Amino acid sequence: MEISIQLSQVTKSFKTKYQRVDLFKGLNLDIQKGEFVVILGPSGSGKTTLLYLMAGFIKPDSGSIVVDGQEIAKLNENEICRYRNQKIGFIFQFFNLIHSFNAKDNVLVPLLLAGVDKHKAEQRANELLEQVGMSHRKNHYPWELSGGEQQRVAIARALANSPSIILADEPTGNLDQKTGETILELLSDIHHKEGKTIVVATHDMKIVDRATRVYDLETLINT
Amino acid sequence: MSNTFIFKFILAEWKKNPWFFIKKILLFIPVLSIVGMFSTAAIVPVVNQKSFLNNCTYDWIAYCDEKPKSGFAFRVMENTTVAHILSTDNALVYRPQTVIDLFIVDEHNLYELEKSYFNKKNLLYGDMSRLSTSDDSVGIALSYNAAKQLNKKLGDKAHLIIRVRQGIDSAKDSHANLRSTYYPVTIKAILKPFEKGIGLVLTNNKFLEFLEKHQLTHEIDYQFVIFGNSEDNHTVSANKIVYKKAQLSDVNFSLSKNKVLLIIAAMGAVVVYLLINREVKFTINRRLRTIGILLALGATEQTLLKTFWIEQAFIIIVTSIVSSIVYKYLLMEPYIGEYINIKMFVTILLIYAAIGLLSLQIAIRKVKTAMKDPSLPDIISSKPEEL
Repeated sequence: MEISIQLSQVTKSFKTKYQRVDLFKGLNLDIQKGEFVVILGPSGSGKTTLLYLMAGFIKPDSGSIVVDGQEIAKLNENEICRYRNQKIGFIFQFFNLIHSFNAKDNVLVPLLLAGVDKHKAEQRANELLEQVGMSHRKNHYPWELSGGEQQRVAIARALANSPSIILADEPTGNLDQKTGETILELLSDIHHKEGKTIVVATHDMKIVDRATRVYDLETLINT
Repeated sequence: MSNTFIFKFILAEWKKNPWFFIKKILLFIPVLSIVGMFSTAAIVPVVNQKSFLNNCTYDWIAYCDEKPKSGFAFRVMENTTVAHILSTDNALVYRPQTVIDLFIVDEHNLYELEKSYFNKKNLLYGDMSRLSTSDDSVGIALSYNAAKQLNKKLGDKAHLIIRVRQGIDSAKDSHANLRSTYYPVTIKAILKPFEKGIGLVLTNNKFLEFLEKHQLTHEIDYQFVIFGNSEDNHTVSANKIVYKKAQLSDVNFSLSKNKVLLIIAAMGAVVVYLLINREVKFTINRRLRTIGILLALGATEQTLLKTFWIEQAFIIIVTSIVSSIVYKYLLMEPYIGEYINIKMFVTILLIYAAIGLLSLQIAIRKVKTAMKDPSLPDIISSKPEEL
């Protein structure tokens, strides 16, 4: 199988006020294309940092991160923006919708940033909202939506530019159990129907059932 | 470049919180207006003198390049001269104890000592061409507003009173007879205080004839009106300080700007910069999470900079327009409103916009710094206040 994301000897450390914290020391991880990977770990174990490294939000101190054959640390500013915009769809724990935009406009953002024609972008946004069951709420603002609804919009936004990889950071972490289930159902559906590589970082064991592969981050770090 | 996104974002932000933008506009308007007011006031003497020189159909110019120290004299500097109106008979007379005085002197150094009708706030300038001229009168330089007030009261005709005491040793004799001679005056001109400047007046042969007819020429050092201050004593001979029109090119006029006002205007410009800097910083802090989200969604540095720039520039342009209107119609209209024509209005508008946009160009660097903020990933993964 083709490798989608490959982390080799990745190190990442942070400086706090008093000390330097080594989060990853020589981390290795291979994720195949089309896999639904769950990365388990307790809070503070570095799950979010791992996803941010994959998304190119932050750079590793050393080592390499290759995504679809591309070493992302070597991309320049504009290339890394295009990478985040085109190749990655990111789903946040706290949804991170833009509050001045309604649901449809939030989905439009990655499309407009990519320079997609406004008419085509709107058409695509409508399709995606339909897909996540939010077309009836497309003119509603984030504060008018429930947590589950906001996360659906966020998923639609993550899918906007048809990225090959979806990274989800605790996608059910801020939702009640029932709503969380429907969000996971939606992610599974996307995985099955569209064959996207999905990486979910969570401490929620219930997600494990849906995964094609599960990694325990602490084990990964200590390997 | 994602221009559609930029305009959509700006409009959405306006729609979401219009007060946030209106507040900024309201904050900038008074500051910009005051900057304009002081900077205009600072250059008024120069503009005024140049305008005067260009427009006045003068015959003589009195110029003093040093401050006279003793004797009976006229000072042509610091506090410039204007004529005053007598409430009793509506005649125009000089007033020595005021900021601006018009002097007609006799050999016994006698002149009016009544309180001035005009005050400093009138010492601005205006458009001389609005006042008519006449061959039968002598022109007198006035501040524009003084001229306007006189005009309302008298039309553009007034009378100059030349009072000469008669009798031997009349200067010491308070009971000596005063011979008052009236001469028609055309209100002509505009002046502004300046250090070492010029006083101008229109005169003509008829006036000289008039002076001769009334036997005044031998009593007066100069056959024309000269501007000065009552405390000054004049020791410089008339030949040295009086120039004919043709000689003006040889005269080195000291057209000094009012430096204090210029400094105040410059300080105002600094305040504008500090305000814009503060507002940009405030906007960034308020939108730090949004910046993080947009970066995560693939927004480029250029897109974010352009978004901030267009949004703030729009505020600055709106502010500049409103400030220019406030400047013209509320601040300057009572003084030099008619002088601020469309050209001047546009110039002020462009100055405001330039100050604002230049400040913005410097302040916008903060957006670049914010985009490199290492805490951005933590901010977007933390729980927002609204949840």
